[in-house]
Amino acid sequence: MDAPVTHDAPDLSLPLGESRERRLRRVLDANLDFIGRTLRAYGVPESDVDDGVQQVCLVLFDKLDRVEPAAERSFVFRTAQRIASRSRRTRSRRPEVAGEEADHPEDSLDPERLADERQALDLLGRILDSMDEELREVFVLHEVEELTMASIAEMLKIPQGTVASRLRRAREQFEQHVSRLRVKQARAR
Amino acid sequence: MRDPERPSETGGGDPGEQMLRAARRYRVSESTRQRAFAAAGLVAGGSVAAGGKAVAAGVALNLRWWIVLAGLAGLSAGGYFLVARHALPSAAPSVAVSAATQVQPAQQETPPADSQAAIAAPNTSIGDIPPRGAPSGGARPSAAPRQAPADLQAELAALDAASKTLRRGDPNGALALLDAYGRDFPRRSLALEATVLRAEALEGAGRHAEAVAVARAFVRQHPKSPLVDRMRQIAGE
Repeated sequence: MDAPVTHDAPDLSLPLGESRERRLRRVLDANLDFIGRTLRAYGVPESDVDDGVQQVCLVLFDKLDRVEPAAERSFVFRTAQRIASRSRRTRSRRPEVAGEEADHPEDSLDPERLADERQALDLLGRILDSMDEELREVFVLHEVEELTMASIAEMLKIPQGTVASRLRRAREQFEQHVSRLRVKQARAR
Repeated sequence: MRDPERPSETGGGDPGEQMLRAARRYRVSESTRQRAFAAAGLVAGGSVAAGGKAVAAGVALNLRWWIVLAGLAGLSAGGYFLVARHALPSAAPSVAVSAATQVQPAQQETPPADSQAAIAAPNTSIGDIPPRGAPSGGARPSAAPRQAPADLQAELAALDAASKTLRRGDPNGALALLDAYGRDFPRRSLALEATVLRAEALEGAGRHAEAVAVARAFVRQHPKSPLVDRMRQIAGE
C-alpha cells in the first residue's frame, strides 16, 4: 500500500489515483486473455493480436471511469469485437487475403493441421466470420468462454430464451462447417 | 433454463472440438501482457523483470505524451497504437503494424452501443477529485464534467512549453511555466508528467534539495508508477 500523501510535494495533485490504477490493473489482469481469445475467435490472426489487445487497452484506459464495475467485462468484449471488426475490414483490403473464400474456409485447410492449435484457431475465426454477429457473439461466449446462458443474457442484455435460440442456430451453422471437415478427414484416411 | 451440453463434451478428436479447445486454451503472450500494461501506464503484475521495468519506465512518459498528442492531432486509436508501437520496445519480433484498424478518433470514440445503458455518466474516479487548493464550489466531484479535448490541448501546450523551455537550458523559466500550469488547470490530467518535469527543472536550477523532496514524495505516493525510476534517479535512491 502506498504511503499517505505528504505535503512536501509541490502543489501538483496526482490525478491518476492509486484506486484507478488498481482498478485498471484488476480489469486488465482479469480480461487480457479474454481479450486475446475474443480477438482470435473473431478472426484476428496471431500476428495482429498484440496490436489488437493494446488497442482495447487504450480504449479501456480512456473510458474506464465511465464503465460501471458490473459492465467491465461486457465493455471489454464489445470493444474487442469492434477492434476485431475493424481489423478484419483492413485485412480484407490486403491483396494476400482479398481472395480468401468466405463461405467455406475449411475447404482450404488440411484437417490434419488442426492438431496445430494456431491453425485450429485461425480456422475457427474464419468459420465464425461467416456467422451473423448476433449468433457469433453468443457462440463465442458459450463455447469458448464457457459462460452460462444466464451470464450471457445478462452480459448482452438479452433474454435467456434469445440466447438459447441464437446458440442453437449458431451451433447448426458451426456443425455444417465441421461436417465438411469430417468428410475431408474421412477421405484422407 | 438448463444450459445445453457443449459439443466438445460429447466426443474425442473431432475437428469442432479441436478448434474450440484451441480457443479455450488460448492465452496472450507475456510480451503482449507487458506491453498492454505499459500501454495503460501500468507495469504488469506490479513488477516485471528488471529489463522490462527499465523499459516501462523509459517509455511510459513518451507513450502517455504520444497518446495525448495523437488524440489532439485527430489520429485514430489505431494511430495511437502506431505511436505506441514506436514508443514501446518490442519484446517479440516486430509485427508489421496493422494500421490495421482504422479506428475512430479516441476522443470521439463512442462506447459500444450495446453497453451504453451500462455506462454511468458521472465520473467518480480519483482523477476527478479537485487538487488541494482548488475551489470546491460545494459541488460533488462526481458531478464535474469530463475534461474537454480543448482543455487537454491547452494543458498539453502548457506542459510542452515548459518542457521546451527546460530543454533550452532555462529551468527557472520552466518552473515559472509549471507554476502557471498549476494555477491554470485545477483539473489536471497530466499532473504526473508535470511533477516529473518540475523535479527535473528544480534539479536543473540547482535546487537539488527541493528536487529530491519532490522526487521522494512522488516515489512514496506512486511506487508502482512507470515514471518512478526516473524520479528515483533524481531522489538518489
